[in-house]
Amino acid sequence: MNQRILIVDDEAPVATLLEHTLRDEGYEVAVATDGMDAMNRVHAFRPDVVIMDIMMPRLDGVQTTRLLRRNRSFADTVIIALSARTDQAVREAMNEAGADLYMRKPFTIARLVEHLRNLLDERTRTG
Amino acid sequence: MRDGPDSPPSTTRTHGVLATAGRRLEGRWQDGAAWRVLCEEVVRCWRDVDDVAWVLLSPRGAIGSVPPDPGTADRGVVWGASTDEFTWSDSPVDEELWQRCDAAAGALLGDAGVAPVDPAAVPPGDADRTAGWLAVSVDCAGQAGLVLLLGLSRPPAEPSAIDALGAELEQLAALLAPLLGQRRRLVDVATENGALRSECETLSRLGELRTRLAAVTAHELKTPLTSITAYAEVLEQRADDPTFTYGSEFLAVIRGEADRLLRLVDRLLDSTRRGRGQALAESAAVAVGPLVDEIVRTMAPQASARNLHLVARIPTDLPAIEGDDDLVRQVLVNLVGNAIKFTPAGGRVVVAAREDTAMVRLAVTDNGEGIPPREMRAIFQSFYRTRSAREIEGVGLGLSIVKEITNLHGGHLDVSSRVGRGTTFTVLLPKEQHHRELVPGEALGDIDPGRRQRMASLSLRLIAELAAARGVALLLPDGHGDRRRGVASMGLGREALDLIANGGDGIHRTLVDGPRLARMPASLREMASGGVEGPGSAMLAPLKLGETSGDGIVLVARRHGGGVFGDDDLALLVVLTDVLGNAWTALRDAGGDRERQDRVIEAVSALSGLRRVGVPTTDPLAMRLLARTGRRLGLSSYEIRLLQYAGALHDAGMLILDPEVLHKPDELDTDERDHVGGHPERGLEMLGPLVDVPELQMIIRHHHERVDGLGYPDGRRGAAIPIGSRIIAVVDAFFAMIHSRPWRDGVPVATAVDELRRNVGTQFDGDVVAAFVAVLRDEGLVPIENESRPIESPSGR
Repeated sequence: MNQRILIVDDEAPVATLLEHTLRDEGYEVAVATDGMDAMNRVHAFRPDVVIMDIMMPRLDGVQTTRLLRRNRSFADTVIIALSARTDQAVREAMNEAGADLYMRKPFTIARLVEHLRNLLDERTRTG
Repeated sequence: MRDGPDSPPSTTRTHGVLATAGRRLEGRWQDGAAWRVLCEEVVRCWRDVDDVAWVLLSPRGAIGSVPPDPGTADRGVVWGASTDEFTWSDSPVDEELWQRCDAAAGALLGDAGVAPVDPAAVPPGDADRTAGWLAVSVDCAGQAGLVLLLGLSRPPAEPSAIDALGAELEQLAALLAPLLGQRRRLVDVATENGALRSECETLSRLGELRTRLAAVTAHELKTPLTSITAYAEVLEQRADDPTFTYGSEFLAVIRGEADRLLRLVDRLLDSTRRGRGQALAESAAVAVGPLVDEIVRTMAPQASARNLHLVARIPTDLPAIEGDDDLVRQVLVNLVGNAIKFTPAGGRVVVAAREDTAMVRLAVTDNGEGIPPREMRAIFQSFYRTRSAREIEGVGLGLSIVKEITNLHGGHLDVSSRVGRGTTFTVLLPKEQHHRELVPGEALGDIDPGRRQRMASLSLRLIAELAAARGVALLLPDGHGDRRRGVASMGLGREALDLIANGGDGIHRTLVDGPRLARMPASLREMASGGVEGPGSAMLAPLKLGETSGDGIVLVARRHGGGVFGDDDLALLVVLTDVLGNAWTALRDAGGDRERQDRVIEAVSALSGLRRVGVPTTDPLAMRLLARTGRRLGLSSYEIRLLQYAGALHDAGMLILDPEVLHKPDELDTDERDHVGGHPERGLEMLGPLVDVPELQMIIRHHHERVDGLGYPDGRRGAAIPIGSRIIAVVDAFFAMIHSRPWRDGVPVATAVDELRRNVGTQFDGDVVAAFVAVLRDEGLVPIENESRPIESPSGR
């Protein structure tokens, strides 16, 4: 079965591009437009990976990550933070909330896909 | 060893004081111990003289920071023969003795020299052994710094003995004076150090805030950049892939995001130029009254050290402001500290506060030397110090910090000064507002809570400032029929939210009845004025949000300056609610496009500053004159409505003018004229979402044209200028002439009318001026004799 990726980003152009590219890479992909939307979708979609923007309306990336990690079912989900915020405080908050990787925007898709594969491989090996 | 016939000559004895003290201190006069050692040696020097019963050094009087340490500010050194030892009296000495000494010291203040022996003034304690005293004051920077008293044990045998002792005292005083001065300077430097440290702390705090702001700004800029690089990356990879058919679509995304980036940069530049676009990270209600009291208490010693009166004038019912407690405190400390520093002894510093419309006004006034006009513009710059300030310690950061903090609060800083009379610094800080979150509903669509609250907050501010009211409430629909959930209010008390939200006292009827003058419900009146029933006049108007959803309601109460609201106020409110209704509609219709939403919010934010920069047509009287002049010239009621709307907004472009150019009393140079000349267009750009009607845009664009074609921006002539613009030009000029400006007094109405007439055919349209003067005459504003004077033909001017 294909691995599932949930993209959480309120920036439509980025989300759309990621959606199509990752689908072409063979993943099953869904898009949530903010943290709240993401929380509504995770239970049905059960993602293996969440690509999480940070600055979003309603529920931001840090809060969403924290909520996800509090739930046992998502303890092992790979969470990749993807943000244009590069200040240390935000990075630390995201790390503390339980993200596995912090990537800064602008990013290259090639690199994102590479990280994605590595993290998933690692999870398969250890899990 | 008692001082007998073989005692050393008095001069030697006096110099001995310094020599011995110097030896004990090994030359370290600046040490904290120096003062005590010196005093001890003074006492030691006199206690061995036969006729001296006691010695007292009293650093009391107007010497403030001179004593060895602040804890012993009103203590001194006393030696009495009865105890046969001197005491450093840091424990309370007999109160009555101190009072007597104080009286003696008081008689000498500012009057160096030796006071005569006064047998009547015998300090108790040693009464049986005292026949009188000799006293001398030691001068320090022109003020008495120390009083030295010698108590005599027997009546003077002969006058020459007294003279000799007096001469010795004077000699000692002369030796001590420079040391005292040095000591004082040291204390001053220590105080200055303290002030600098607190300035440094505030600066680093501001620096932190700025860093946070920079992080958010960087994020905003990187967001479009992210899309651009990602899409470009895919395009690059697939350049040779014939199955990839989205090329032009991707390019369009890149193009669009690049445009967005450009707009963001433009906006950023604009906002830094205006000093806005900053906001406090966290703010809470700050009670100003207690804060001012506390500051006056803690700074009182500093003021009395300079012999200044520091007074607070705070009304008991002053509303709280919204801000950062520590930063507001710093503003007051800096302003009061400055006033204390620059006001000569005997002066007065008053800290006053009062409630304004949307703001609380804090004013620090001194009766010092004032600031010369040519230095006024520079005083807020970092490290700038006025000519006179250069003689006083400091680095010149105080005022720039005050300005920065005020900006951060969305407030305003003003200064007025007259040389030789004094200076007043006025800080306006926004009043506390109460908000209750809207339940998200379709009526306000995709507006996120943060922007919704900011818009509500700005709406309250705009109405309060332009409608000159201290109390404003705003109800917003939630889209489910008649239930109104979003409420924001200011100057009405927190409890008012519930009453208004529940539609108490028929407030919701406004939606059916339309705009009206009203009596404020008694319950609300009480809340607004803290239990005391305040003035009951109020106004209600619907806030029209388009046909698809329910409307909002605006409640205006507590007229600024007292009195009841009248028809003119209501007419202005109707125009304002029109403007705001358009703004809210534009915000909703932006459909989640944050950038468009931000442009709307920015436009509303700019407008609330209009009255402050002195745009006269936001006045109810100006509104009425505009309407009546329009009616006289045969405008339809729709055109009159547009005219009033344009009247309220047309000078928004002034807000982005460089204030230095705007308030320049001299002739402008070419660059400056270009800068000013661009303001109608800049205004339109900024107001964009609020002036979505072409006719309206035309009126605003051309309000600075002249009928002779020499105006700006397009140099249109005569009838080619929209009639609305021609009317606004006349009304604007009229109000600009009769209102006072910082650099000149207003002229009488009759003179202004003459001036309008003189410029008919060049600057103004003759029909418009005639109609306007007729309206002024109807209003009883123009004396009769003006009426009979014919309108002069255009002169060669």
